[in-house]
Amino acid sequence: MNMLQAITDLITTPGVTGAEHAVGEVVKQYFSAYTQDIWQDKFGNVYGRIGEAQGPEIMVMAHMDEIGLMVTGIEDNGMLRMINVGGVDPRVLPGSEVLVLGEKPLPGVIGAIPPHLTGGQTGNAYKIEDLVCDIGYDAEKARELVHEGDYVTFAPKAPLQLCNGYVSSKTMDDRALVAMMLECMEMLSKRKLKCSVVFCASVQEERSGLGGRIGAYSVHPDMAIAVDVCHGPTPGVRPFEAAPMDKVVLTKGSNIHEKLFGMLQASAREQNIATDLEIAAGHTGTDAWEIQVQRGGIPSAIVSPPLRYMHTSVETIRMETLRNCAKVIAGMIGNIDENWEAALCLDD
Amino acid sequence: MRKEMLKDILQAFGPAGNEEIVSGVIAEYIRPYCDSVYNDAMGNLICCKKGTSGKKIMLSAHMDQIGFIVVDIDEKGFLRIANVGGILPALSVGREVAFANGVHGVIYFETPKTRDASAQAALPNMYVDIGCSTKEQAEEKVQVGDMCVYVTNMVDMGNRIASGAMDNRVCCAVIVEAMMALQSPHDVYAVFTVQEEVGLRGAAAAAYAIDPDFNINLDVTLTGDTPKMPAMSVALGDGPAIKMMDSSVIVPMSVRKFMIECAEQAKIPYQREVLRAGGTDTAVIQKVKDGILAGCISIPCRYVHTPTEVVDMADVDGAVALICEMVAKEQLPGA
Repeated sequence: MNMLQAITDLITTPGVTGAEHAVGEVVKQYFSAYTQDIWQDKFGNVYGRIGEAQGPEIMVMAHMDEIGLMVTGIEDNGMLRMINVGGVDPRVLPGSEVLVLGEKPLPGVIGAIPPHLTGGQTGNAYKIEDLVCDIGYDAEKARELVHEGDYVTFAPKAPLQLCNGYVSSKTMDDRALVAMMLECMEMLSKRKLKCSVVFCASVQEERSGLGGRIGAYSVHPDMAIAVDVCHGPTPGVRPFEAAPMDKVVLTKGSNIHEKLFGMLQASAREQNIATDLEIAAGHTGTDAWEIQVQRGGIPSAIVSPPLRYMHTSVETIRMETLRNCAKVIAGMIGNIDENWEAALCLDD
Repeated sequence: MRKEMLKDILQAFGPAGNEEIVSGVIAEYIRPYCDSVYNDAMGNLICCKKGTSGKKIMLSAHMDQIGFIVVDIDEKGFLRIANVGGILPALSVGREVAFANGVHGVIYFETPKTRDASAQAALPNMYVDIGCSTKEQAEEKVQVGDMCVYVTNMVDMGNRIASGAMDNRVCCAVIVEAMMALQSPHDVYAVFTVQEEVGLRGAAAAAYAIDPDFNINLDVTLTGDTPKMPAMSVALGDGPAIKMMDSSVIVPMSVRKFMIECAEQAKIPYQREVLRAGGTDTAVIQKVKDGILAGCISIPCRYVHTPTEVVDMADVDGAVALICEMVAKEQLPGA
């Protein structure tokens, strides 16, 4: 499996939160290389199951929705007003190329007042309400092709390959981890398992966690691993807020089942993969938050690769770290045996 | 829309958590058109009209309103209050309020040097005067924990109507009116939910019990058609709004498409709504069990959460027609 090709195919398919259908089709296509047991729920989560019918069921979830924008109105000069869907950083929007998903896809740009005309007032960052999207049409034509509620996404392009195995693109959060799940499926498909594994590409993580919630309710797994990005070091970010780009990050905190965490850590150790810790006192900002409290409670954990420039169009990751995330999860799942229930039992 | 019925539903007492009275008023109107009517443990009013398809549609609107709760009664008989839901304090000063037992009072605030100071009114310096001089007198009428709501007339301006309880009683009346008229192959549940204004509480419990195949929620939404309002394309009188997104929920594409097709087929004018700030029961209904497909019809409303919420009857009648069109469809939205 060529993980970079998978990332490219996933990233160049639009799937803003609430409209993940197209990217879901790409996921199904990739899942079909490893299993025929594929299904989709009414909100668009895509599931693929591998492994044995005996033993526990483990769910691995990466969200496939991406942050983006939605049209709120069309000005009399044909410009589109927008609102963010998920945590788009409005500071990086001016100067962006976008795709407006109207009656047909329309290229657009998000402009800003030229520095010559600001009267020296350039210090303040733009707010989303101040920005407009220009598709070139006048109001009459724009209103024919674009409506309130239509999505706007960052222009889909293949990832930029930086030096040293670093790759940069929009939507690495969290499509890179969807590709990582494929790598993990490939590793596990060569092993004899004593459990079944449901891989889920979930919807709506960037807003409500709806996909994680209904996915966990409907699958009702014995344990769950959410895979999502965490922050890599950049200038101005304090050391304890970020993890080195070459380490697989495991989260600790109230959202995380201690024993499941330990099983992942053991797997990393067995394979000599360097890990780092992220400490989350409460909400982890991942699907694991909703998963943990479904049904009677589901032991949950999080595996992350560090990522720089989160929620921009240049989200940057290191491919080797992504591969190591897959190895840690595959190793942990491969280690599961008949004693899984005892292994999960919390100490008195 | 029967204006007399609308008036009765608008003027029934029912702050969040104390919805028994308004529930009773709605139940009286809807009972003749339903096979069963009951209140669940939280107080949600659930009314079912049976169909034959084996599928269930849930229509929902919250019946609670914003109000105040008495937190203390002082020696002079003034009632100290806290908000129940999103009250705007400065707009409450000088207003008449009523309790469930019929006691009336007026709201004012502490020692204003000038009347302009009402902009500084905040709940901690506000009180309700119920015409008593001592704590003992006041306690004969009202207890700590009792709730009160704005007393407002239904202001009939012709096509447009104002009331302090438009959010969300106008939508309750829309559902009652629709239940009187609709024909559906499906079981149709009309659900009047409790405690929306304090965190979208009742709807999730009702949706869990009913577990419908499809939900159409109704609530009011903001408009951008008054002086200096921030840009928003929804306007009074341009038809009921079909929700695309608000702060709490994204309506699934399949549901939006179904609702828009129904409006277009029946030639009902409609608007597409993207609300920048505000949430609805739709959000919690979607999250029940393994997910419930849910959409929302919004009635455009000016001055939401004030004693003078204004709606246009054309939008109200359009919403009734749109519900009737949707529930008549054999094929409901799928994935």
